[in-house]
This record gives sequence, C-alpha cells and structure tokens, in this order.
Amino acid sequence: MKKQFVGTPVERVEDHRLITGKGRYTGDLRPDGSWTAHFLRSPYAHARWSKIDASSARALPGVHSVFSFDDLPANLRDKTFPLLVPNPLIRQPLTFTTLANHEACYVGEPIAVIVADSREIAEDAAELIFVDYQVLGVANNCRDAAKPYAPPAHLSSADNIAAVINTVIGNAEKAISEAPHKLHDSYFQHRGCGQAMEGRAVLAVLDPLNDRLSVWSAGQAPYMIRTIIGAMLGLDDTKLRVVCPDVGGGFGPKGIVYHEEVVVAWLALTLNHPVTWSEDRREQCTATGQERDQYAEADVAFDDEGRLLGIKVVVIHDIGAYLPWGIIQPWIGATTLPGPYVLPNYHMDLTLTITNKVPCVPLRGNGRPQAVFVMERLMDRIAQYLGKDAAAVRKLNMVKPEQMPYKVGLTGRDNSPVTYDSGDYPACQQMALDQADYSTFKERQRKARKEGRYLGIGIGNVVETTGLGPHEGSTVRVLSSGKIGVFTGAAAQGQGHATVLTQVAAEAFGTDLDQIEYFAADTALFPNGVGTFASRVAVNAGSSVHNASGKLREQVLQVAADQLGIPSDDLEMLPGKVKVKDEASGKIDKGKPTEITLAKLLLLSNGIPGYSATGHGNPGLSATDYFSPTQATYSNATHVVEVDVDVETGFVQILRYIVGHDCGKVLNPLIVHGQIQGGVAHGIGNALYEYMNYDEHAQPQTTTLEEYLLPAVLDVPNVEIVQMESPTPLNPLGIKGAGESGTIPAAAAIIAAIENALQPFKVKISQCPLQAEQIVEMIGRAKAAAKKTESLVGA
Amino acid sequence: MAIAAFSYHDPTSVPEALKLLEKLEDAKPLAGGQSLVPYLFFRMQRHRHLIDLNNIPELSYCSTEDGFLRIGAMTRQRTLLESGLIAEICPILQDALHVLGHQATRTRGTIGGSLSNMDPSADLFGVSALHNAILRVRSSRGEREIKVSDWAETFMKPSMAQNEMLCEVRWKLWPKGHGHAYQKFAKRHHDYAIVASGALMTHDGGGKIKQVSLVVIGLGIKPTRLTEAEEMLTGKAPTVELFAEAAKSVRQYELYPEEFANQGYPRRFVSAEFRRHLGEVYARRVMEAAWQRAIR
Amino acid sequence: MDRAIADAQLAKTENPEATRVVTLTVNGAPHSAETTTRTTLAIFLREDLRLTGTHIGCAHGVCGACTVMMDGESVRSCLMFAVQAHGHDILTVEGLSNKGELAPLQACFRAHHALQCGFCTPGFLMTLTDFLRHNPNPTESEVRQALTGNLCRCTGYKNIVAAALDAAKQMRANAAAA
Repeated sequence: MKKQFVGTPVERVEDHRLITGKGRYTGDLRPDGSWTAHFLRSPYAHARWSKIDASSARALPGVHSVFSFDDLPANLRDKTFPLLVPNPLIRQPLTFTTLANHEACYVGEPIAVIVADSREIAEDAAELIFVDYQVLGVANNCRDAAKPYAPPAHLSSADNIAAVINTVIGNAEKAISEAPHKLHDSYFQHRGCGQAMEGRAVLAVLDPLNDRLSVWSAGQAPYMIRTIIGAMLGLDDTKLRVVCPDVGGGFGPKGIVYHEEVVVAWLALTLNHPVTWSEDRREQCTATGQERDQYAEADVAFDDEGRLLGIKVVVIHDIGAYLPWGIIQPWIGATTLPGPYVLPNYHMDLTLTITNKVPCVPLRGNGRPQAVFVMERLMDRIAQYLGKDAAAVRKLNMVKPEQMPYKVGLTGRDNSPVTYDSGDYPACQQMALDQADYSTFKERQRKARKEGRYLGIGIGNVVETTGLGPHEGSTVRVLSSGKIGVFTGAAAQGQGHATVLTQVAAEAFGTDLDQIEYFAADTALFPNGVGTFASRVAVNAGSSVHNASGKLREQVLQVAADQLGIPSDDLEMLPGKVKVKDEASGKIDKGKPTEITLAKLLLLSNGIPGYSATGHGNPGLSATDYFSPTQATYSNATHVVEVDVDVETGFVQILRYIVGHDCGKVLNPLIVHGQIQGGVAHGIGNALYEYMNYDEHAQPQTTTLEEYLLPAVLDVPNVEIVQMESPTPLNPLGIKGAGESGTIPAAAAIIAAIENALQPFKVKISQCPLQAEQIVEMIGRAKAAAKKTESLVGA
Repeated sequence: MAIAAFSYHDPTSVPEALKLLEKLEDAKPLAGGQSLVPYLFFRMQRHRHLIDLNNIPELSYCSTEDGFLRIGAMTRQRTLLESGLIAEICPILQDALHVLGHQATRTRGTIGGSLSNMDPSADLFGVSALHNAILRVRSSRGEREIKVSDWAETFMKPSMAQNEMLCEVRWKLWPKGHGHAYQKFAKRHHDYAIVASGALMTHDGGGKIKQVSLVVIGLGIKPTRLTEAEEMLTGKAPTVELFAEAAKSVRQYELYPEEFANQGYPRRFVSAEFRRHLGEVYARRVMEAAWQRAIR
Repeated sequence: MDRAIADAQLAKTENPEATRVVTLTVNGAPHSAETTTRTTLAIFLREDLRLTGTHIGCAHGVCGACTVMMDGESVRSCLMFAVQAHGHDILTVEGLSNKGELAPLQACFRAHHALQCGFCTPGFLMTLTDFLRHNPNPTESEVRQALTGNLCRCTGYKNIVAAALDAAKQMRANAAAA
C-alpha cells in the first residue's frame, strides 16, 4: 500500500542546513587563496572611448591583472552571446559582448575586469583606471526613442526598434467601429528589479584532476550557462561543469546569462587560478536586468450588458539596450491579455524600443502583470460606464467551465495555440469574493466614509501560462546505499523543488521521504535541462520524476521477483527493501529468503562477472524520463483587495488581501501557499513601492535599498488564500504551476481598490506604481475641477 | 562596494580622542556607524583616519540635573528607548525612537552620531529642537555650548570645527504629565521621514493651552520650529479650527535649497509642495494628539 | 581621480592594509585572527572564521541579512569593523542550536515554512533571538515592529511572524516547565 505524500504539507527537506547556517550559496564557496574579480562599469548610459589606461591599477599591490575588450583573445572579441530565444520578428538581435567593445550602451555595462586579492583592493584599483569617455546621445524614454531621428541607443543602429509584434483575434478595428459602446484609456506601467536577497555571484575553478572547468553560479538555468560559456570559450560539455548551488532567490533576472559568468570562467581558465565574483546591491540595481516601462493606449468595445466585443491596444515597451531573452516577455503579455474572458476580437500592436538602459529581462510575472492590468482596468471602466458591479461584469465575460478546453485564438510562446486546459473561473472568483465579504462591502464603505475614512475594494483576475516546455528530465535510480537517488536539471532558488520532487518520487516509487536523496542543478550529475522560470518546474520536473519513479518501481519489483522466485504482484515495496507480501508467504519454500534489500538488488542487477545478467534490458536499476508537455497548462487566480486610503497624505494601508487560487492538483500546500504569499509581496511592491528611477540621461537614481523600496514586514498583510483544484489532463499528476499567480494581478487589484476608495473624488487611476504624492495630487485636481464646475453651474 | 583604506584609531578616553582629532589631518569620529559606514561603502565619503569612539564609556550616560536631561553623545538609541527614566520624564523621545530605524540600528546608533550627521530628516534632531536643546562640543583646546537652533552650518554639516566633537546634548524637561505627540510620514513604516512633526503641550487647568512647542522636520536643512503657530496657540482654548489655522503657518517656512533636493534618500522624488502639504497635515495632527494627552 | 592617485601613492608609503589581531568569542569558542582594519565584521566571520551562515545582502545596513548578536544584542555586522568586535562576545546562526538540537525558533521556522531561499533567514533568526529574550510574550504587532529591519523577498513575512509567535509560546512553556 503506497503512502501518500503528494498533496500533504510536508516540511521541507532543504531547511535543516538553511536554518543552521550551513547553506552553500555561491559566495560561501571560496577555495583557499582564490582571487576576487571586480568589474569596472560604464558610468554613462551611452559613451564610447578609444583608450583605457590601466597601468596604475595594475601596479597596485594586490592586483593580479586587469583586462578590457582589447586584451581578450580573438575568439572572444569576435563573438557575441548566442540569442537564446530567436524569433523572425526580431529586427535587431542585440546580445552581449564579453566586455564592452569601445561603446557602452547602459550605465553598469562591464568595461573592464580587475582581479585582485580582495574586493577592497580591486575597488581601489578600479579608481585608478582611466578611460577617455566621449559621452553620446541617449535613448532614454521608450516613446521618444521610438520616434524617427531619435538618438540611436547603439551607434551601429539605424533606429531603436527591436521588434513590432501584432497579436490578432478576429477583427478588433471593425468590432470597435460598429459597437454600441466604446471607451478609450491610457496606461503607464513600470516594473523594476528582482532584488533577490542574494546578489548574483560566480565562482570558477579550473579542475586539473578532472580536466575541466567548474563554474558555480547563483543562477536559475545551469544548462543555459553551460551553453553560453561553452559557446563563448569553445568548451564542450565534457570540459565544463556548471552548478547552481543554494541560490538566494531568483525571480527571473538571474535566469539569463550575463557577462560576469563568461568573464569569470575565462579568467579562471586563463589565469589558472580560482576566481570569484559577488554582486553588490548597487550592481543589482544597475547591472542586473529588470522589467521596465510600458505605455498602452487601449480601446474597448462592449454591448449594453457589458459583454466584450473587441479590444485594440497599442503598446510601447522598453526592452533596454540588449535582448538577452529575445522578445519572450512582451509576447507572453500579448497572449495573456484576454485572461479568463471571452474576447472575440483583439489586436495588440506592440513596439519594442531599444533604450540605453540595462536590458529588460523576465521578472516574476514576466509581461503578464502589465497585460492583466490593462484588461482588469478596462473591466472596471466598463462597469463604471454602465453603472454595474465590477464582479458581475467580469463574471458575465468569463469563459465557462463547460467550454474547457477553450481555444483563445492566439499562438503562445511555445508556438502552440493558447488553449485553456481546465479551470472554473466563475467559481474561483466567487470563492474569493465570499472570503472577502464582498457582498457587505458597500455598507462597510458607507459607514467608514461617515467617519471620514476612505475604504476601497478591487478585483484582479489572472489566467497564467505555466508548465512550459520544451522539457525537464530526471533520472531516478537505486544508489549503492539502497536509497533512491533523484537526479534532475531543475534549479531552485527557494521554491522547495527538493521537497516537492522528493514527495513525488517517494509516492510514485513507494517508499519513505527519508529514503530519497535529491541532486539537482549540476550539469555533471544530469545531462540536460532548461531552467527555472515561467512557473514550469513542478509541472515538468514533477511529471518527469513521477514517470521515472514509476518505471523504476516496476524494474525493481521485476528484478526482485526474479531473485525471490515469485511474481512481482506478490511483492511489496518497503523502505530500503522488497518483501514478499504476508498473504503470499506460503509460496516461498521454507528457509528461502522472503525479502531482499535494494542495495543487494543493485549489486545483482549491475551484473556479476561470469554469470548471465538478470535479463531485464540494461544493467543497473535506473529509469530516466524527459517530460515534454504538449502545451502550457493554465492556472488561474482571483485577487480581492481591501484598502484604506488616507486622503490627506495619500498613504495606503492594505486591510485585507484575498487570493482565490487554482493550480490544479496541489503537490504541497505549504509550498504553494508560500509562493502565493511571497508573490503578493512582489505585487504590493509593484503597486506601491518599487520604482527604478532614471533621470533624463538614463542615469539610475535609485541604486540602494534606501531608495529602491522593497515591501517590509509592516507593508505586507497576511494573505487569506482559498484554494480549489481543477486538475489538468496534460500531465500525469494533474498539476499546474503556482509561482507567479500571487504577483500577476496584484497591482491591478490594488490600484482598483485605491480608485474605488477615492470614488467620491471621481479620481481615475491608470498607472502603477502609484506614489502617495500622486494620490494627493489627483484628489486636489479633482476637488479643483469640482469647484470650478460648481461655480460655473453655480448660483 | 568596499571601503577605501583608512587608518584606524581606538582611544579610550575623551582627551585621547580629542588629541587625535587635533593632530590628525582628515580624521572623522566614528560613533554608531549606522550612517557613516554606508557612506564609506559607497565611497561617497572617505577619510584618512577614523577615530572609533565606541571604547569611551564616559561618553555614555543619561541623567537629570536641576530639571535638565543630560545625555552623553555615545548613548545608544536602544538604551534611550528602553529607559524607564526616559519613559517617565521625556516620553516624546521614545515616541520618536519607536519609529526611528530598527532594532539592530538602535543597538549601535547613538544620539550624538545622529546629531553630528545632521540629516534633515533625523528624528532626534527634531526632538532636540523641540526642547531648545543645548549641545556641548569639546576640542583639545576647550569646550563650548551651541544652541540647537544654531547647530546647522549648512546642509548636513554642523557648526563644529574640524577639531571639535559633540559630547553631550541637554534640554530642560517639561512638567510631568505634559502632552506629547510625534508622527511621521515615510513611504514605508520606519523609513527616514519625508516629513515628521512633534508637539509638546501643557494646559492651564482651565481648558487653555499654557505652553506649547511645535516642530516639523523635512522642510529645511534643520528642524523648523513653528514659532508663529506657538504664539497663536499659547493661552488659547483649542478648537479644530484653531489647530488647522496654526498648522497653515507651516507654509511660510523656508525649504531647503534646490541643490540639496537630490541628495539623500527620502528627499528625492518628493516635491517641495508635497512636503509643505504634509508638514501642514502632520503639524495639525500632532497638535490634536498632544492636546488630548495633555488633558488626560 | 587625483585624490585616488594620491591615496594610492600614500598606500605605497603608509601601509593601507594595516592589520590587527582580533581576538573574540564566537558562539562560545575563542577565536583569534589577523585582519585588515577595513574588513567588516561580516566579512571577518565569513572569510576569516569560515562561518558563512551570516550573509551579506546589501552591505549598507538596510536588509538585515547580516544580523548577528554582540554581547547579547542584535547588530548589523556589515556596518561594524572586525576590529570593533575585539574582546566582545558574538553569537551567529551557527551558535543557535545546542549540540545538534535545534533551538525552538529554528524548529518553528521549519514547521511553519518560514523560509524559502533561506538567504535572509539567519538575519531573522538573530533578530528574533534578541527580541524574544527581551520580550518573551509579544503580540503579533510587536513581533512585526521588531522585524522592520529585516527584508525578505521570498516569503511575504506571514509564516515568519507565525513561526516567531509559536516559538515564543514554546519558549515560555519550556521556561515554565524548567
């Protein structure tokens, strides 16, 4: 009888070392005598130079070497990083050079690297490097930069357009022109930085005993790092090992491959000495990718009931100075906009503008928050226009459960048609509304206003693409100790993969949790993987581990059956061994063994010289499975937020935060709820606190944690999570991803709630983040306009 | 971010510290380090010499004398926050400390360090101004007293000579049971104030304000005592309208010059007009709160 | 730039990497090591003493990941120089468990899923160790007030607060039973 672990709130297997200070983060791994790398970075958003004089720097005691572009070998100078996600729509496939080649295109771009005994000495040396910068014109704002004759962000570019993407269902222009009602609205959104608590870090060590280069990186995608370092340095994968050890948070920006990984690897190789590098917080703000600005002009057409007839939206999105992730992020946004609603006609005209800012990379939500914001604000506008309830208008438009699987009419980022596999959106929304006491809110709001308090409520819905391919794989095998080893490529930055996959393996194989040993994110231990982003690991690695564990179980039982001389149906799996079931013990001759350990079975199946093999295919007890989903699987959520706005100061207090959530079968409720609570914190940051500010010269202004504000403990309420399960038919476990639905609709719901609180002032809010000062200004302007109207209408 | 090289000195007495300050060129006293060390990390400041004051016990004390509260410059913020004496005789100091910084920064942070750093948003600077504090500075050549209203020379620079060091701050205590309130506006709880306001008030037993002291921080390079509002309120019976009228007087005070507007964390991205507006709102709120406490 | 050159030249005459021997107690054990005077306590613990449980999140005293206890009170180790800890008593996350047995706070963090990536966790544990020693029966609001100086980017704080309250309860029960 197999024990059940899937679906139970198992405590995490990772935790013991993390709570006792025995975590192994990249910065903790420091071979004796290793040297420290530090990067000299461009202080200008756009500049070129002819000469770099590092002679004083090299002469400083404790400095081992200084390299800039001209010092690199020809094979590195001639290459740019491979474009990870090519697409024919990309007009300017700009990717990184190893170090800047006489032109820097964003503040923070690496120009030179110093290798020294310590970070302090390396920074002293950096101050002694002289570069004859010539400051160039800057492409700062993505709307201005898209215009003809705008200063080019790259000298070699004719313009700043990276791509134009048109996403179409039906004929939106026609639907809008013929509609009984239409509205126009304009949106500005900004999303900032990942700001994981651990900065990026790289350690590279040339390992002569194994004749390979080992690289540790605080990244999200060890195989991508291996691909790019391998391509740039000409190392094939037998000569290169990449490990992502304990990683202190990722959230997207750590998922691309950066200059530092290639440079530090090259340094270790060239100098034949371990080299380590750690990012500081200022570099996280300036040299690590972010999401950024997006402007949208939207037209929505609807009927008398509020049913959507068509949406046309023209978007300009700031993609930054390079495209390390291609155009995935805006593409996802474009295909996410319809959300849980039936949208018969849709056109998004999306321009990606290159600017002199650090590249735009995925950040928790990855383009979907922006799309959801537009859709949800439009829903509220329709409701306001028709004088209807915001929840009712949403329900009216929702895809019904009986319509599943539902083809939206778009092509997803994986080139398959966007098809919602399962889910009951109306039920999920209702569940959240009930938890939020939505039906009694108007009364609470009225009472509060009498006391001079302004309460508001807002709703945000999301249907989230998760579980994207192409694949993740695993090998599950019996170890010589008799325990079961699970080997996968999946890299974790706190999501609890080790625990979740241990649960899956233990249940599918039929053993206890403590019998499983988990190995991940090491290219030497598992040959192939993709990476952790887009809420895809539980689905893909989970399904793979489930399949492989099941296959291994069958193998083990079969080999045991041969050894014990009894059909496998009469055997049961116990921790560390296989035993004849009690009721079948009569079939065994007296004195013959009734059980056999897994360790023994392994030895036997490995083969004993001179004896025939057990005759079950390959020797050893091992099963490998790569799970390739046919398409993404779609989880969904409804956020309901209640706020109290201090109209004198603009300070927003979130009183209650409810998330109704459906991610199919839940593998571990502790972990799923932790992801939602943590995701909401990011969303609160997006709505109220996080702003990566640049001046008109594209100079970053918020480069410390005093300036770039992260939500702290008093800023994040306890999220009330109500869960339902609509299993997916797309994988054996019925699971969907859960990492981002805490974030995606959060800003939309919070901004909607603030606007609802300020209803008496007839304020309309179409942006996020929103600062207190802006709230006070909006109220002031609305009051002035009302006074004017009064005096005009007047006496 | 890594600190530029410096020579480290750890005197164990005030005369020793002053001697070092006198003779060394480009020497900076190191108090709690909660403000100074980050500047050193960013290399926004660098000094050839750091004089660590943390091994000088004679600079840490908190006592009363003739109705005056005397606090040694190296007295930790945490000590003041946890002090039963302060709770009784100067509660507004704890009102401010409660929303200032965090547990770990208060463990090391000192009142003298905060006053010497002179951030315009420093809550302790505001509380000192509220009390007409006297600051005692010493050098190897002698000592002198500076009124808190004269403490600021310019933006984040106290009127001390290079060879002088703040040793004590003292102020006259208000009568027992006085009304007090300190409130601040920050983007997140416990951040540096964008604007904060403090009020002290006593009543005359007949429903009128006997004595009142009002301050707003975040407008100028130093705390702004609302002397006009104080005059308006003294001897009057408080009403909602009176407090609102008094608060309006905030708008006349000088804001710090534009050139400083882009320096330091909370000042950026907030307009002068908004700071004035908040100054008025918070001045009114602390007047109301202080009065409620005064008549309790 | 001129100043930097001057400093570098000065560096060649005066020794910028002036060192001192720092002797202190860490987690009950005496340690002594030579280090430069500009080495922070955080770096000293991590690199000289190989106690990598204390993490550096921002190096400018905001995030709290570097929090340790000195003489019984929590401090930001990234804002102190190692030489300032000479002669003092330091407690880091590695010193919380007793002969392999987890402290109640640690066990509660695990039970309540109060950590995800674990990077900020040592800082939270040290802040809470200080706080609960001085406030054994806190309200939820008081726990939150105590944690304003520790940032977490993964958990959204809910489970950290729950773990702290549960640990406080257990510690009170242990104290009563003792």
